[in-house]
This record gives sequence, structure tokens and C-alpha cells, in this order.
Amino acid sequence: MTLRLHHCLWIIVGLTFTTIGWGAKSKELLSGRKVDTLFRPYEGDAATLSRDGRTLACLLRSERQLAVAFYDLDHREKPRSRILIDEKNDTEVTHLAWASDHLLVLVTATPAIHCVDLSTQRSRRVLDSTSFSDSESTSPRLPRYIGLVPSEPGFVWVEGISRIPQMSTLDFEMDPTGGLSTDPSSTNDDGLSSTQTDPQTDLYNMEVDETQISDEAVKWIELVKLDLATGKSTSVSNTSVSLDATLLYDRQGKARILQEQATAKQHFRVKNPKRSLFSQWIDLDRIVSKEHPLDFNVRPQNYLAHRSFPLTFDSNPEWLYFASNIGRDTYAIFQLNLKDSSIREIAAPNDGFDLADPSQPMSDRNMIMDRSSGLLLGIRRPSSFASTLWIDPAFAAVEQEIRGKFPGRTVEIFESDDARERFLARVSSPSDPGRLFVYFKANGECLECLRLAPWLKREEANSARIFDFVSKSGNHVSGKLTLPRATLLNPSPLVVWCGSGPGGQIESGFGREGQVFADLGCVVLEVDYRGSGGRGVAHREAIMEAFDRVPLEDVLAAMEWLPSVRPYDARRVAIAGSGFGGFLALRALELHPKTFHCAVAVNAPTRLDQLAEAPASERMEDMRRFNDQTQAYMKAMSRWQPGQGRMPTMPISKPRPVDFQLEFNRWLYDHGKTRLGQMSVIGDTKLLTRPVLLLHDPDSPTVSFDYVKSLKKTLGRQGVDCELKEISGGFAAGSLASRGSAFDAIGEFVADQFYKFDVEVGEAKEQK
Amino acid sequence: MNPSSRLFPLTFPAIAVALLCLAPGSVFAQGEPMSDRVIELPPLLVEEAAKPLPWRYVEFRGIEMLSVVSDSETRAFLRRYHNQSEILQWILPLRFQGRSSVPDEYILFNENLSRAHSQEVMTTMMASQREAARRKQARDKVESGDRESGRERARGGAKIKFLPNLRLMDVDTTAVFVVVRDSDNLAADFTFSMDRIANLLASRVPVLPSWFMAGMMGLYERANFGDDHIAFRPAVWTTPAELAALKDNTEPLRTLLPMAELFARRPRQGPSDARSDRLWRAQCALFLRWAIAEDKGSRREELWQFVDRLANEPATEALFQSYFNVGYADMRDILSDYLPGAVEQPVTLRVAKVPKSPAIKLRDATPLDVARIRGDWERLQISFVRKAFPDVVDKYVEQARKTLRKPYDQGERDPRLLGLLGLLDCDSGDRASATPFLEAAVKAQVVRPRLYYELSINRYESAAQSAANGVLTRDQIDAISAPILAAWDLQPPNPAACAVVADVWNRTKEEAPADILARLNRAAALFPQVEGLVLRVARLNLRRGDLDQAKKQLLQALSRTSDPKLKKSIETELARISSLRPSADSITVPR
Repeated sequence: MTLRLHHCLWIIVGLTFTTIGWGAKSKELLSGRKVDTLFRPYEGDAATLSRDGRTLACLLRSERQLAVAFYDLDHREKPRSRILIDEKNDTEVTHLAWASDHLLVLVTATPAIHCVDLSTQRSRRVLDSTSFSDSESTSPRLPRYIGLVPSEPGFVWVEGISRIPQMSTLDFEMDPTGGLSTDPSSTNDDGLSSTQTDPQTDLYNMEVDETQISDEAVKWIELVKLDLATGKSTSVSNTSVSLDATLLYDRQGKARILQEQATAKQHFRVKNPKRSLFSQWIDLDRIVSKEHPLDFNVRPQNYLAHRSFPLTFDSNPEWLYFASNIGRDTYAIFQLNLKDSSIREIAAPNDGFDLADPSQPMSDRNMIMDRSSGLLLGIRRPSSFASTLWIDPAFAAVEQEIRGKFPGRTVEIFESDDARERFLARVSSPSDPGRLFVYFKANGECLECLRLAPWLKREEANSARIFDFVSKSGNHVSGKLTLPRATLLNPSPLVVWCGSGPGGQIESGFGREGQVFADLGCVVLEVDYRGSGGRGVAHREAIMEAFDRVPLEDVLAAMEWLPSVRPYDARRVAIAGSGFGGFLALRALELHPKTFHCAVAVNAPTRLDQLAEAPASERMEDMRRFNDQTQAYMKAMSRWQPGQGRMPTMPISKPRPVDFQLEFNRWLYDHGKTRLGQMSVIGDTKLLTRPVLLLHDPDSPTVSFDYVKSLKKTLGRQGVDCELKEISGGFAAGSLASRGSAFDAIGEFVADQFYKFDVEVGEAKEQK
Repeated sequence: MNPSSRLFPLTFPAIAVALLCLAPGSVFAQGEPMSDRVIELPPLLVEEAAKPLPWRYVEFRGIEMLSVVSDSETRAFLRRYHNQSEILQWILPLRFQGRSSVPDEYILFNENLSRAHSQEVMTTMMASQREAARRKQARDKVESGDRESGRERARGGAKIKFLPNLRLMDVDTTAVFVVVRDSDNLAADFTFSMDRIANLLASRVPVLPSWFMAGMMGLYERANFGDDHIAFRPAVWTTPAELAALKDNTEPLRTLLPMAELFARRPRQGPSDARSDRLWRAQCALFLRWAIAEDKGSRREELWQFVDRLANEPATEALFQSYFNVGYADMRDILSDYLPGAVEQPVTLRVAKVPKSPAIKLRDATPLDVARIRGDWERLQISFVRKAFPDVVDKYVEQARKTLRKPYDQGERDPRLLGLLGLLDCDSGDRASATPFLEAAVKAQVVRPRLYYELSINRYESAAQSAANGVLTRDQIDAISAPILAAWDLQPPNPAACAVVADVWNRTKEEAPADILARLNRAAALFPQVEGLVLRVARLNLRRGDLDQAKKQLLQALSRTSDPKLKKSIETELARISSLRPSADSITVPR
């Protein structure tokens, strides 16, 4: 039914706004701010407090430059000093840390390692991929920053490809000064199985060799000690592993845990650091008690389910922190003594949220360690309800104190000075990217140092909050709700944003996407539906029932709950998402055409098994190579005569390394309880009658562009209003600029749908 | 027994002093600080030294004025007064200003006349001062060898200076002495002093939140009143160095207090921390600047309503959010973001057209007018001089008595004049002589709350002398309470007077009547900061068996007091309540 304007005065008001605002196709949002302001990289997204607590260093991204700013906390009136790092302001910085009292190490994702010298006010790029990588390889392995060298100020560990000649498949290691460890048999009393005496280990080592397909795939991974002041590096150890393997080092710089990536079954293996020259990697599962298996092997079958994975080493190299949900629903944190195989529980959640993110093994990102003692201080939850579980009660008390000063905010303490008098903390909320504070314990003062997004005015922010309720069907439904600061219509339209696929989760902090839609005057709902991560195995695995209906059940439950908090216009509801979320949006439009008015799908599959296909470009490359080899073979065969040397051999393409994510997707979508054909967008296109916007990267490595083009064609034939726009690969890679452009288009589409009053929007429905 | 001293800590409200600035081009000018080299005294007018002055009298907007300047200048002054009063309400509504049933008294004096009339006194005082210094110097030499007392050396060399403009306050009225210079443009230059604003805020009942008073003072300090606008100069911050850092740096380091702390804090509470106190005051002013001056004053009404609510309930985040639509953390952030701009940019608040001034009807002052207003002014000077320069206080007492007695000796028996004579005797320590004057004024129902209070105190002193073991009879209690109860509804309410009533009922075994206790409970709620009152009322409630009310009041008093002895006393009372009702609820003593 087409709405009649004279029936509803508010629509007239809305129309007036529409004519002024969206009629002119303005890119300015209702709040007055533009989309790209929301997608600017934050200031201070890396910051560190000096160990004496006197200086704070923060990353600055202003004026189209990347710089580090230094604040003298004892002389606050002094202007901050600023040291330029790069002429680009969007370089991703992965680490910023004090390496000495005046040197900082700054690591970019490029990767490059910079030394920032506070005493000379200069910075210098001391290492990058041109100076420390395997440039001859077809798939070069980039240098990787490992960490600070304990007790040696100004030195950092860096891992890369060795430039020394290959010796053998055996490893050798040098002591931290660069000397070769000599006596391989001198340490045989560490409780670990000997590779020479344990037949099972020998057997397992054979498996390792099998994964090392060719000489090109096996390299010496070298760990060097880099002197930040001079840029000179000293080789510390070399380890021969597959190029796709990842090593976890202990704090003495010894490679201790190996994770092989390019296998359908990923293993975590451990090595005794003392038994250096001839020691071998042994399966981590083998050193724990058989009565209490921890299952450190990752398979597609247990990826979302019960398993264990290493996190990081304690300052004591025999203590490995790991996460495990064996025998429980959520991930808890444990400590494994590699010497005597004893296990100690460090922290266990009691609130239904995982304490570790299974997609990030061998990462200390969420482990907060004391810089002076190396001890574990606390564990930051990776869930939507970010908080820190403190092991050290002193930090818990400080966090409590700061939290009291900022009611309703998320407080994250990053580090303290050695005296534990000054603490660096970020205070943020779902409505605010946050600010950096230094808390002075002596007088309880919170010194504000930096706003992460000073260009976003607090008064312009749309209010957002985390919600959690139990649905009528008894499921815990949580997510994030963003309410518009200003609206064109009363009640406001609703946008449901589906951002995550199985195992993923919505961003708990300030959400740019939610703000874009709220700036359009819409209520925004993001739901951590069943299947998403962070809430235990049962929550993750529930999606196996039906990949479309189960998450949509939770979305619909949230929509039913929403009017109790904020009524919305049930005739103006859009659903949008990217990847799996985009698929969900399209399925929502097919399954619930009376509930959803339009959908936006970004890089979305039209059938879930498309997510298990190798990228088209890779398939094309394989095909081209095979054709070339076949042609060469045919040519050689046509020339070959018996007795004229060896007969040409059939071309056998070198197997492409296994992509675990693809393997997992393949297994996942093959083992759902509902057949894929029954939840296919492309199979149910006749159910699609509402407007659709498709945004897709033509070179998408996850979903072929052809599928989306096909959908567009089909919908066009059906007369459905469907628009297909190409976006750059940056969207999927997380480039803010690309995301900003895409959301500009999405915003325009949503506004057209909601604020174009000559279109049919359905019958008015009463919300109870 | 001295009832007044027993009322500790209900010390009689200190008579405050303030300057009223008329200096052209400046909004406020603080009086020169009291230094060892200059002694500043209120002007002393000795009419006998010259021909009688041509006093003119006018009543206008709750003030009584005597003026010896020209009628046009007097009118200009009053019109400006009217204008300033109206504009002030834009940032401080009338309902947040203290009120008094007694008109303020103004004396508008001419600079040249002032000098001439004070000359004789000046000469006398100088001689007196030199003689006093000489005597003390000699005494010090004897006591401490050859060492000269630094203090007396300084005093010996000091100059006496008469303050040009002065505001003196009593518990129920304010008197202002304004010396008009020939160069003054009264229509354009006169603005209310900081002390007037402080007095308006402090005398408001129920008591205003501390943050509001501190913030308003800070805000007003930056304000310039125009005819149709208020221009606020850029805000200031804690110290000049921090202010400069805010101005010079792009993203300056800054500390702002959490809003909960801002609202809960009271000056001089807790450990003495000058820096945090400066921060608190600066942030209070910043918050009011944001709420009152920014965005065309669009948040003023929300602010007023919020402050209204705080008279009856504590500040909570939910309450704050209901008016400002942001929580405490957001508000702190907003202020933090606002600060760098506020210290750089002035802001102007346009105000509606000020209503025309009422008619100003001047007439010649009668001898009674002159005696009342001048005499009261001179009486108020006594306390000031007693503190500043006690050597000359007798001169001021003598002058005040001379002024007030002149019409009395000529047969004038106006009850207001009698009341003033009574107050003068009280101020000069002659309570016995004061009683008949006070009795007469009270009997005539003169609107002057302090008269009633002083009469009660006099009766209390007499009763206490005859009381056995400090216990008062019902008749004595009624007699003491009667004057105070008669003036109960006059403005401003006097917590000391309420405490006298509570105190006398604590000196009998009889229970306080319900209507008296109800009044006292209301008074305790109005003056939660006056621990002495709250504590006494709590005891009456306790005796009556209203344990909940008593407990509430004791906890309130405990939270306010910083006196360890009083704290202990309150804790003992609380323990007593607990012992009376051990199972009902145990009392948690806040720390």
C-alpha cells in the first residue's frame, strides 16, 4: 500500500528533510559529519608508557603523516615533541614499545622496523623486507618482529629467512651472543621424549618431512638480535621449517613451538631448548598426560569445538600458557610446565565468555605481561564484552578505581611504570573510540593525554550500547544497539548489520558501521547470533543446525525485543552484511520478505559452498601452469625417440599449500544439518522481491564475482530492483578508505529506500 | 553557663566584608590586600566637623538608600542597579539568590565630602596608632632584648587608608557604602562585585550545591554585563602555566575530575590539596560556562531544574542524564573537549530586553532615616574594625552610638531605631543594656530577624544563670523560644536561631512538642551543613523515639563534619541508636 502523505504529518516533515538532504545526493550525514570522517584511522592506536613512568609515547596520524608524539608527564606544560615516521598516515602499526630509556621500537605491518630515538628526536628504519627476507622465493616470507630482548636494552628479536646456505633438515641454534650451541647430548634430563629413543617421535618426525614438499618450501628461519641504535643484527638461531609454519619463541629467543599452517590438520609441536643441535619437534599432545588429552591438533572438525592451543611463554621458558576448552564449554587459560608436564589452571571464565580467541593461536595479544618481571598480570577477554580478568590484584584494584571515574565506560589498562605508580589506560565505549589516560595512583588523578578520534565530536556521536537478553526460545541473544542522535522519521527506520560469520564476532567498541547508519537516522542492530565466537562451544556449534535460519532466529528475536528499548518503524527495516553476513542478509530477504524491506550484501556468496572454493585467480593460475606444462610435455614427447635419453615425464603440478580456512569452510558447510541446497540464495531467487544492493570485489579471493553477476542477472530478469557495484579488495582487507567508500554507497542506498516516500513500504504494523 | 559559646560549632555567622567596585573599565576590582604597610578602614563620617549634609532618601527594589550625590547621579546608579539585577537573573535566577525580609541599605557618598569628613578621624587615628606602636615597641624591647618585633615595626610604619567602597553584612541585611568620584559614570561602569554574588549564593536557603556556588563565582568573574548581553571572556584554568599549556598545545594534557566527584566535593573537605581544589573550582566554572553561556544558553533551563532537584535529593548520574541527555563520563568528555576552545574564545549570551526601571522617587531624608541607615552602617563597621585595627574600634563604637542616640535623645522612639540601639549594645558587648531596646522592637514586630534571635539569647543567658544543673523549666523554654518562633518565617532563616530552640529543648526532660520538632526537622533539612543544628535536632528525635529520623540526621552530620571531637560524639550517638535497636539494622558509619 502506498502511503498517503496527508495521512501522516510526520512524513511531510520527513519529506522536507529528504528533499533537502538526500534529494541533493549529499554525502553529508544527518549528523552533519561525512562518512569518511568515521573511517579515518585513529590517533594513538599504539601508545606506550616509559618504564620510569615519565614519558608517554603515542602514535599520531595527523597531517597526513605518521609520527610518534612524546609527552613529558612531569612537565605537562611542555608541548609534546613529535618525531616523523612516515609520510603516509594510514600505515598499520603492529607494535610500539620502549626498548630502552630513550629508544622505541615501532613495527609496521609492511613490515618494517623503525627505531625512534627520543634523545636525538629522530627515527630511522632499521630493518624491512628488502634487507631481511627471502626475495628469491615465489612466496617470500616477510620478517616478523618477535619482541624485546630481555635485559638487553635497545635490542629486539626479529625472525626472517636465513641467507646462509642450506645445511640439512636439522636445526642449529646459537647462544644469544651468536655462538653455536655445541653439545647436543649434554642435556638429556629434561623430561622430554628423546627423538633418538622414542620410536613414536621418529614416526612423527617422518610426518614432518612429508609436509616439507620441496626444497623451495623448506627454509631456514633465522632469528636475529637487532641493535636498534646501529641497525646491525646478530644471528641467534636458525630453524628449518616449512615456509608456512609459524614459530613461537620463549623469552630467551628460542623457537619452542611450531605450528604448521599448510596442512588440513594443523599441529602444534614443541622442542626442548637445551637440546639444540639435534633436537626435533615433537607433538605437544605427546608431552601431556594421556589420561587428560588436550587435543592440540587442529582439524576442521574441532576448529569451532573442543581443543587447545598455545598462547605464549612465561618468563620461565618451561612454562607455556595455553587456552583450552576440553571438558568445558568456554576457553580457559592454563599453564603447562614443559619440564614435568604438570598443568595449572590460571583463569577460568564463569560468565559464559571465552577467555581466548581460537582464531589467534600463539598470540600474546590478550595476555598482559609485566614488563619488569615478565609475569602474567591479566587476560583481556576477546569477547564483545571486553574486560580484563586480572591475575594481579593490584591491577584489578586500579582498574576498579578508574572504572569508578568513568561510569559505563570500558577501561583497558595497557601497562604501568615499574614502580606501579602510573598506569596507561584507554577509556572507551561503543559510542566513543576512546581516550588515553595516565592514571596516577598516588592522588587518583586521570591525566587525559590523547583522543583517538578528536575529529569526532562527542555531541555528534550516536549512543551505542551492548545488549543481552534471553529470547522466548530460551537463547541468550547479545549484540550492540546504536540509537540515532537525530531522526528524520518517528519512529526511526531500522538497519540490521550482520558482520560476522561462524566463529567471528561483532566489534565491541566503537563501531563505524553502526554510526554510519545511525547518522542516517536509523536504529542499528548488530547481533552476536548463534554461530558467532566468544560465547563457548554450544553457542558456536548451534549454527550447524541451519546456517541461515538459526542466526536469523536470533536477529528476529532481537527485533522483537527492540521496541521495549526503542520503537522502530517496522515498515522500514534493512538488513545488510559482508561475507557470510551478506549471505544472511540476502537469505533474510528471501525467508522474511514481510519483515525486511531491502538488503545489502558485500562480497557475499550466493551459496555457502562458494566459500570453500579456491579463489578464481588461483584456479586460473593452476590451469594456466598445467596447460603450459602439458604443452611442453606433448612437445617433448613428439620429439622423443626411444633410445634418445630419458622419456619425458608427465607434468605433475606441485600441490598448492593447503589453505586451512578453505578446508574448514569445506568441512563446515558440508556437515551442516541442513542441506546447502535448501539454504541457497541463488536457489531461491524467486523469493527475492525486495530491493537489493550488491557490492563486490571483482578480484575477491573468497567469492567469485561471477556468482554475484549471475544473481544480479537473475534478479534483473525477475524485475527486482537490484544494483551491483564493484568495490576494491581493500574492503575485505580492512582498509578504512575502502570501507568508507563502500559505506558511502550503502548509506545512499539505505537512505533512498527509507526516505523515498513515493515507494511502497508496506502496511503499517502495530508493535507490541 | 554561656549559651552562645555552648552552641559551638554554631558560631555566629561571620560578618563578611566586601568591596563594591566602581572603577571605570573594570568589572571587579579586588580591594588591595591587607598588607602590613596599609591599614584599610571603613570610612568614618563625622558630621559635627562640617555643616550638615544634604541627605536624600529613596526606597527602590528592596533597598533603602541615603545619598548625598546629585539626584541624577543617584538615579543613574539605581537604574544601573536595576539593569544589573535583571541581567544577573539570566545566569543566576532569582530563586537561586538569597533573600532577606530586611531591605539592603545603601549610602551613596561623594568622594570630596568623604575626605573632608574623615580628616579629623584620620588625624586622631594616626596619633593613636603611633602612640600604640611606640608603647608596644617599648614593651617588646623589654620582653625580647633588643629585637624589634617585625610585626610592630611594620605596623609602626603603616598608613591608614579609608576604603572607598565597602559592603558589610549582618545575618539579615547588607549595608553598602559607595564613594562616588567625579570621574565615575554610574550609568555605565557600575557592576556587582564578586562578593555580592558570593553573598547572594551563600545566603540562599536551601543551601545551593557547592559546585554551583564555586562555578557561578568562576563564571561571573569572567562576565561583562552589557545592556542586552553578557560577554564572557575566555575561561581560565587552574594555574597560569596550565592555562598557557592549554592555549599553546594542539592536544594538551589535561585533567578533569569525574562529574560524580565534581558534584560531591565540597571546598575545604578532605585532605588539603590546593591543586585539586583549584581544579575543582575551575571545572565547576567550566561546566556552568558550558551549561549557561554556550549554544545561546539553550541548556540553562535544564541546569536550573537540575539544581532545583538537588535541594531534595543527591546528585546521581540518572538524575543528571534526565536533564542533560548525557551520562557523567560523556559529560566529562564534553567538558574536556570544550576546555581548549573555552580558554581561547570569548562567548556572548544575548539576553532579552531588560524591563524598564520602576520610578525612582527621591525625597529629603528625615533625621530618623539618616540615623537608622547611617547608624546601622556604622554599627556594622564595628566588627570589621575590631578585626582589622582593634586600636580604633572605640572610635567607631562611639560614632555609631552618637548617630543612633541623636534622634533617640530628641525623643524619637521608632521601633526600628530602638532595635538598632539594641543591636549596637549587643555588638559592643553590653547585653544588659540591649534588652529593653530589643524587647520594645520585638513587641512592635520590627522586621529584623536578628532582633528576635538576640532577645532569645539574652533571655537564654538569664535563664541559664538561674537554671539548676543546666535544666530549664518549660516557662523558661517558652520565653526563650518565643521571639525566635515569632520570627520563624522571616527571611533569611537563621540556623543559629533554630539551634537555640533545639538547644533549649535539649535542656529539659520534656519531649519537644510535635509542631516544634517538625519545624526543627525542616530546619535541619534546610541546613544540612550546620552540624550543630542537625546534631541537636537528631537528639530530640532520638528522645521522641523517631530513630530513623535521628539516624538519618546523625549520619548527615557525620558526613559533613571534619571536627574529630564532634565526629566521635556523633559516632557515640549512632552507637546508642544501634544499641536501642540492635536487630533492626546495624549502622554503617561512613568513612
